[in-house]
Amino acid sequence: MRDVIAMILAGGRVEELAALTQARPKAAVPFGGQYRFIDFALSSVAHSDIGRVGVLSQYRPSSLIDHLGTGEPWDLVGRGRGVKLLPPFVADAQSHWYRGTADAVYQNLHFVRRHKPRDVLVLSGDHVYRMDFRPIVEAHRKSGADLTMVVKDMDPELGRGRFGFAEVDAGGRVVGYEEKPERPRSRLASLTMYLFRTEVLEARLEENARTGSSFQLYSEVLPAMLGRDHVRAHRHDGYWSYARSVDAYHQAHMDLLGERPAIDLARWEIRSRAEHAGLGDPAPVWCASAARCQDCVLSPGVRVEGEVRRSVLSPGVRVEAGAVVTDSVLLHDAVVRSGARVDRAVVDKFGVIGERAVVGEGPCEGANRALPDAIRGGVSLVGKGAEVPSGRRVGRNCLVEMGVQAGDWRAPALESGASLGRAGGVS
Amino acid sequence: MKKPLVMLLAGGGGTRLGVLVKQRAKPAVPFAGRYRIIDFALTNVMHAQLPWVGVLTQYKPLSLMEHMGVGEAWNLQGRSRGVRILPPRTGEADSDWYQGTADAIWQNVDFMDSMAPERVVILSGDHIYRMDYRRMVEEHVERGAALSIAVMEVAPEDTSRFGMLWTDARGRITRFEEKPKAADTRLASMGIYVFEYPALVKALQDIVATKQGNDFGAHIMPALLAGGNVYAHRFDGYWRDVGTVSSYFHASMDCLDASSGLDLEGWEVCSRQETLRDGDMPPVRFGARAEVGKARLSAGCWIEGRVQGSVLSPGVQVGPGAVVEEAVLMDGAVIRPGARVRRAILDKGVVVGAGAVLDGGRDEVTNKEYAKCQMDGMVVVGKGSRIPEGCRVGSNTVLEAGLQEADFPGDLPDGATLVRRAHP
Repeated sequence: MRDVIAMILAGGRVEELAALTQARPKAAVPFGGQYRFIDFALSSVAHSDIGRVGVLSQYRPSSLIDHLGTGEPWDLVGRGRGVKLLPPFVADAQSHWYRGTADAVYQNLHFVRRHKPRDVLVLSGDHVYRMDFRPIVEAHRKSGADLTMVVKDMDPELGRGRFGFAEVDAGGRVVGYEEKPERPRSRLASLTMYLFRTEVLEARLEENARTGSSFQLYSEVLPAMLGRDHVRAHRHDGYWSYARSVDAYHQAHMDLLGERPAIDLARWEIRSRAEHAGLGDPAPVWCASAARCQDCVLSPGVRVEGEVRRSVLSPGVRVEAGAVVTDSVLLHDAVVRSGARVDRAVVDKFGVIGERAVVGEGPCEGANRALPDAIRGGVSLVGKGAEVPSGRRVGRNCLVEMGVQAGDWRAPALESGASLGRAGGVS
Repeated sequence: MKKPLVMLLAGGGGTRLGVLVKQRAKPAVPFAGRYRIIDFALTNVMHAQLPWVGVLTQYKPLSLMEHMGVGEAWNLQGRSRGVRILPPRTGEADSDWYQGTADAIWQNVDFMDSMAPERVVILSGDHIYRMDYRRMVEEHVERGAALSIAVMEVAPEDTSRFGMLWTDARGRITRFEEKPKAADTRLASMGIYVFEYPALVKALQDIVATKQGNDFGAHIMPALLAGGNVYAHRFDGYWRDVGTVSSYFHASMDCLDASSGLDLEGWEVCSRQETLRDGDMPPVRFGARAEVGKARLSAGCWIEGRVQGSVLSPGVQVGPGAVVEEAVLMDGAVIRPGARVRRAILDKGVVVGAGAVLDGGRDEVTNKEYAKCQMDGMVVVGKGSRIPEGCRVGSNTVLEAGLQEADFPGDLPDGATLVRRAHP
């Protein structure tokens, strides 16, 4: 589809993911072992034969730049194809950071215009799904819509206060929309994926740039179009998730497991760039004689001498002899030393769980005190490069911040709900 | 000092690998899960930071060329680096197939001249090892050698498999014998040569151009020995020629335990990811009742049964209740529920039907057709063959590529070979 370009919003830091987004934008957070969140949007774009993509990013974009490279995993190299990272830039007196999703696209309308697309697909870089956009484009054009928004049937109880809900008439036309209502009037939640007719997008964004205050597509541009433009809804019935907390991030990983995983990586054909430290490629997964691996997903370069159950391990993770990892997510090159136990935890890149240390023990009593919205479901988070020294114990809903070293540990245990910072501060 | 030019011999058919080399050259045979044999030589080239490689191909080079791509996986892409595939071409004669290793190099003297090398490193693409060629080249230069040959010690009973060398106290080679029954030396040639370029060209002119010989080990090396300027470079790491079914299998098992010396992680082996599917191979998936011990599993594997002491290439499926023991399963092999596979090598895309049994491990009845492969009791199944449900296959058996269920007469006894019936 030469005449559609995709603009992927990948800028946000998203506080709810706590230490996971301290060093990277959410779109670059690893997911599913060897992937990053943005691979899901990019793979759907690639499988829909969309060849021109802009990635809007402003928060610590370096891992995203590395990951995108020249875009060849997603067929984004060639004539009429390409992926471009679009950071904020200084141009004139009005230069400023991206003030919101609408403003980010607005500031890059020059990129859109240069390629003269008929329609512009605006996506988020941090959603997990697999979608074919071609039928959406087809229906959009056939109906003469100015905007087609993707919605999903959702229990209003679960989505209230979190999602925008659309009211749709029998003909598929959106007749009402409320942003994060406490009592939704429909069951159709917006997935913040939009297909705009280019001229309409340009006009509405210019308007919003003059008169807006939040500069968000969902809270300003979309409501302003209702009643004036032809807005339609496309219902997505497949899997879709969005990790808005450490708990949700953990839960989405559990969707990769079981007899029939809700996220079927083999069938979805997700594409990624294999990134790894060191010159060599990650070797095939190695299981030692005494290893036990059940109901888990292990990426290349993983070495297991202990036990791994109901867990997802990224490339280069090591689980030493006698260590037991259950219901957990271990990101790149994390090490669980011999005799350690890790239960219901997320361990970020290069995290080290020392010999006989325990992460995730005891009953789940109350949320993390520093980040009660992000960490409340019982999952503990060990930040990037942080160490839990040998023999130490970490309870539930704990946060060990990025880069915490052995010397930062004063007490033998971090009780449930507590956080440990780099200077040894416990909160 | 100019970095030496690498000439990599990758043309061999490797007939003693039987059906595994039916459709590909030996260097292109998958090994250790995600790699191909040639990756080990290319990895050594990369880590030695040698920028130019000529790859000499002849026998069924397609998989090899596909695998090499433009060489970026081994840092061989750039303004001042690169890889050139050098297939045979017609010259003055209508067809100049390579007649031997030295002949292959001689026919590409124009390529070498164009690179104006001071030295040439000649390698073979079918060995599993990790070696720093820079140390060998340094030693070669220090000694002022015309030719240096990498050597290692082998057991006295193995001398008949190697070119054996005798050296003096300074490491100068004084005598050479090709595959002697017995020898009072333990130094074997590893087929790795560093030549001063003028000395190489002169030897090729004298011997190959005058049709006196066309092989490095048999003809070039003995001729150069007379000049007294040929040295041995000692190597004592892991090195295997995986030229037979038995040696291929045992080297494969070595990658299950780094104490064998074959240390995939430590060696930093580089390979090119070949995409045969629309998406990437996902991570390895283990079912709730999987039992996996001492195994290598590549991306895309899905294990619901039991896997012990085995090496699995990308995309292999082992169904519930299936048992795989001491086996090598190449890309996309499928072991259906309840099937048992023991001491077997399955090429790409082989399907073992539910409840079928591949029962390798007994070396009692010789396989006559493939005796020279040193079957060692293995079951070897060619690319894409489909073994019917419940079928029993004995040891020392070879099932050729492309067999369909209907091609099976029933169970196959020890030593049997099954060939694809000619389809009308």
